Amino acid sequence: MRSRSLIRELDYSIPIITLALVIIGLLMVASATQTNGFTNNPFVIRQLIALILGVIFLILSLGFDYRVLKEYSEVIYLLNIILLVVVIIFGIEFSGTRRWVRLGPINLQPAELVKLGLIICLADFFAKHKKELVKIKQCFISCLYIMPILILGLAQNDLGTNLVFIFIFAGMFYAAGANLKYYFTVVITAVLGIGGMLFAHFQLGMSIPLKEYQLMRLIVFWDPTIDPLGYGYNIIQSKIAVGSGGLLGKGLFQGTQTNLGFLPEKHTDFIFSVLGEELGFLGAVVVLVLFFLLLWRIFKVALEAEDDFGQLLTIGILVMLLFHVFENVGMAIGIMPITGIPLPFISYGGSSLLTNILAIGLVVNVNVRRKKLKF
Amino acid sequence: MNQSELQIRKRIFYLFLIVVFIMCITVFRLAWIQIYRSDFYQQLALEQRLRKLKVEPQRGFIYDRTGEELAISGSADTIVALPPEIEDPEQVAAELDSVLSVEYDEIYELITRRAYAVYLARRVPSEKAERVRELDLTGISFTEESRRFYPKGSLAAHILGFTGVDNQGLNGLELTYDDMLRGTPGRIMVEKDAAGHEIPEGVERYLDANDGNDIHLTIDHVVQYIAERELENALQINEAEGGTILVMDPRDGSVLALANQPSYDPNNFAEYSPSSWRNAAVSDSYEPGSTFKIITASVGLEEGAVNVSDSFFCPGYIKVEGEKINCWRSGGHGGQSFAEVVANSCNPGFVQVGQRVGRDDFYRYTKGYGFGDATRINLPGEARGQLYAQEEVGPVELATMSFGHGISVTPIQLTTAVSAVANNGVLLQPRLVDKIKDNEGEIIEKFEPQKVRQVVSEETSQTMHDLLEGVVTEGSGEKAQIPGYRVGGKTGTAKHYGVDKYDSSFIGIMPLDDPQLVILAAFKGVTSYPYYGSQVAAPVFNKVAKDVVRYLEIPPSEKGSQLAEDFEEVEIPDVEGLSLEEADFKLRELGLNFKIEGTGDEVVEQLPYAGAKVREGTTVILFTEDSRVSRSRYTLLMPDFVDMTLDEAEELASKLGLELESGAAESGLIVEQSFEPGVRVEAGATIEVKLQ
Repeated sequence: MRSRSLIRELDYSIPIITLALVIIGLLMVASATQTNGFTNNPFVIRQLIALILGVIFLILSLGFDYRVLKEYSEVIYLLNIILLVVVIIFGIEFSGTRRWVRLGPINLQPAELVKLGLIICLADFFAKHKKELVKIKQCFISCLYIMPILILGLAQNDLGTNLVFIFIFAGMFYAAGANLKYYFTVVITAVLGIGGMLFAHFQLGMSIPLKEYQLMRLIVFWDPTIDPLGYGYNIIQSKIAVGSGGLLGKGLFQGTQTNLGFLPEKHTDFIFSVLGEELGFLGAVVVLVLFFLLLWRIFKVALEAEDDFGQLLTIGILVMLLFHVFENVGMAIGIMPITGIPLPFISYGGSSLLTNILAIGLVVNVNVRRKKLKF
Repeated sequence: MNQSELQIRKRIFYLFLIVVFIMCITVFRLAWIQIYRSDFYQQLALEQRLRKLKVEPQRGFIYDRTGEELAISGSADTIVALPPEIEDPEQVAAELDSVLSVEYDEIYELITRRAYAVYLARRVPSEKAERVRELDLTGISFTEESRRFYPKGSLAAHILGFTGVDNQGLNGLELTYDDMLRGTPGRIMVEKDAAGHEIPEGVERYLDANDGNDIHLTIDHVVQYIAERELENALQINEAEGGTILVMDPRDGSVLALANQPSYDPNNFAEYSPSSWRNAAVSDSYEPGSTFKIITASVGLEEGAVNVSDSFFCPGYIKVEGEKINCWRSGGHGGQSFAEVVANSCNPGFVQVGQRVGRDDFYRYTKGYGFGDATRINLPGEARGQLYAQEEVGPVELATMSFGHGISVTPIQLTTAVSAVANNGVLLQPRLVDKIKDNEGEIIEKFEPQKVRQVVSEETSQTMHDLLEGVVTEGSGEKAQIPGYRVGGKTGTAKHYGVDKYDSSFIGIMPLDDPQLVILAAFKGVTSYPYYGSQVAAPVFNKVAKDVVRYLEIPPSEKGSQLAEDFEEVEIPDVEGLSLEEADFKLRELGLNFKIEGTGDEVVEQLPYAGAKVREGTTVILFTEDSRVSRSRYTLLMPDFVDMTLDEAEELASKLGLELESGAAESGLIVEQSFEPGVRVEAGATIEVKLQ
């Protein structure tokens, strides 16, 4: 009885849009990895397994009220720390960053799950201390709360994921009612501080805690032609792929840049370039519109959430998705520097897909248990 | 709704505005890249795809010593199909079938392959590529591939050799220096992390091909041209199986020309019989006959076994171990000095020299001159010639070898050995390659003259010069004489065993005061009469040498056989419309100098005009199509001819490209000229002068 009424409350557009994005993602992964064959393509199969797992977890999770998570927020916080430590100790290093943990036949990216875990912890933390957020002391405590996660993220040397943590924190902190005076002081100080450090590095040769490749990514963001075969290569190739797609694209599975191997990391970080090349401007805009609609529906869920925890949870997920989409699409078209961040639902990567589906599950969970409008 | 809740809602709304803003930026940027700049990126994408096919390096060029291109790598169009882009393979195959010489089925199979690009036809002639281009088929594209061209056709074919379909050297220098010329192909590199491990799905890098090195030869294309021209002419006059001309600078062992007949055009080598590819100058050995007497004489002198003034007697034969060896002159030469023995090429005389030297010393020197061993000229298939094993040589064998029979040598061996005689007795390794430059013009290898050994003394060398001069002034080499120069040389005629075929040759050194040229002209299997070296080969030497000394501007000697010829008057040829190369040949042949205005390849105007009679050495100005000055604007300052003799004035006028008109008078000094000194006149103008 209760579950039927819950289903009646469901905003169907959220799972439908998600499904549409996942299907587009599967097609794009199949196209990007078509050298592995069309049938039994291991990338597609692994992605499908992650999808099915995700859907099962999602359905199971709907049976629980999301508010039970509040009870476990300390446990989840601890789990986050443990997961990150595990990666640092047992992780496999690729391209200078430690992201993967091998678990039998599968490689996991625990940091993906930590993103969701962090959102839950922060939602609980901010909801509990909402009233005190105008005070400087609480603002300071909030920053201390996220610090261990950021430090561990830094130790993984995974700038992209750390940026996600920071933006989730910043977004939720803002939405929770942070004192704007302190908030923007911190933001401006951080921006000036980072800018000053970069300036000091380039002009005065001061050493900063960034690896050479991370610095180069920033440099080639300004001008990819400085190192066209090295750090600038990805940007140039991605722009060529997207640009050569034109209005209508070259057709699914027909992307020449993608298939001739010019485009690097095409099924993960640069999946949007494959999309741009094969489906053109039209296809790219359709995907962006789907993301926009999804975010818009999530906003609605946030506004209608029954409690602060649910609202903050939704906002955290929203900021996470927004940052992923903007950063991933932005780097593919040269308006954001390159960091290894997947495009939600579309990039190949089981951990990422699973995390995002679970996140959507949480949104739906908040959605079906929303308060009745009182207008 | 309380205050804080309202504030939160406002903040959430602001967040939503950020989302809208970001989406707008992204869509705008996408439109910029994918619509406004799409053509640009499509072009880049195409270039990249084609570059992926183009990993072949350009083969290095081969130049002569003057920097003239002998072998170049031009680009030829290769037609590529991009199967994923072809929409109607049947139609495309049908259209291509009519142009390319490939079967329809084969084309269809190629363009429907599951590949991103396939070669349809490699290195097609430009007109064919043009026709395919005109068809304007989607999915058919072009890339340029390097193709070997020999711009001078068959010139120096045996030196250069040729390359196969994949630009691999197959013969000649193309083969021996293949590693140098080939270059390194482009590569596809996979990105590696700091530890050197390949990154899965990492960035692949495309490294451009590294072009091959350029080879600069010691060959001079003009000398080579002269040699080939005279060789061909000689084979028109005489019937022979083939011939070889070698021109070497004995001072450093440089080969200036190496020509063989039959020859071929390396651009289409496959259309010629493989036997024409054979480089007879290094691969074929023959009986040198009397030319080898140069070696015998020098050994005799060096060992003190004979002196120039020693007396010999020739009854027309000599008996060795009971065998009678005839002199070429039945009846014999009677009493003669050694100098006369050499001039007369008297066999019994040389047999005696050989006997006096003795087998072991004779062999020591023969080997010392490099016979029986490769010269290491670095051309493929070099033969070593044949010598009897030393212990098998009895008195009869020694006797015949003394006059060049019972031994076989290659033309390059003989030329190198005689060059040692010319070069104060120092044997040098023959040089064909002067230097190798990398594709940026840096010299990476320089081949300096290499001394092999001192074979005979400087004194012997000088004596040999005098003896060999005698052959030309008084003996069998008369036809080799060149007015104004001291020439030494030796003829040779050897009969093939059992058939009426002769090997006729002449090898000469000049000028004897300071030998700069050793020229061998050798003909194989001469069947026409006269077949003597003195009749067949000596005139060829003469013609080659005459043109080469003029081209190289080797000054005549005062002790030369005659006074220098007067400057010849030549008529300026019409070179308008010719390529610079052709004009170059035409003018050089006539002994004219030239100056080029402009940087084009074709002569559009010339100065003086065709038909003008000028002295040898006059400079002709050639205007190419892009010359900034044209003939009509090529003005020069009028000189002052007054008080000059007509000869002086004409010399000056011809240097400037002016014509003098003096009327009937030929003596006296110039008193008047039709243009004032200092005025500007058009080049080629005629100036009237009055003499008194």
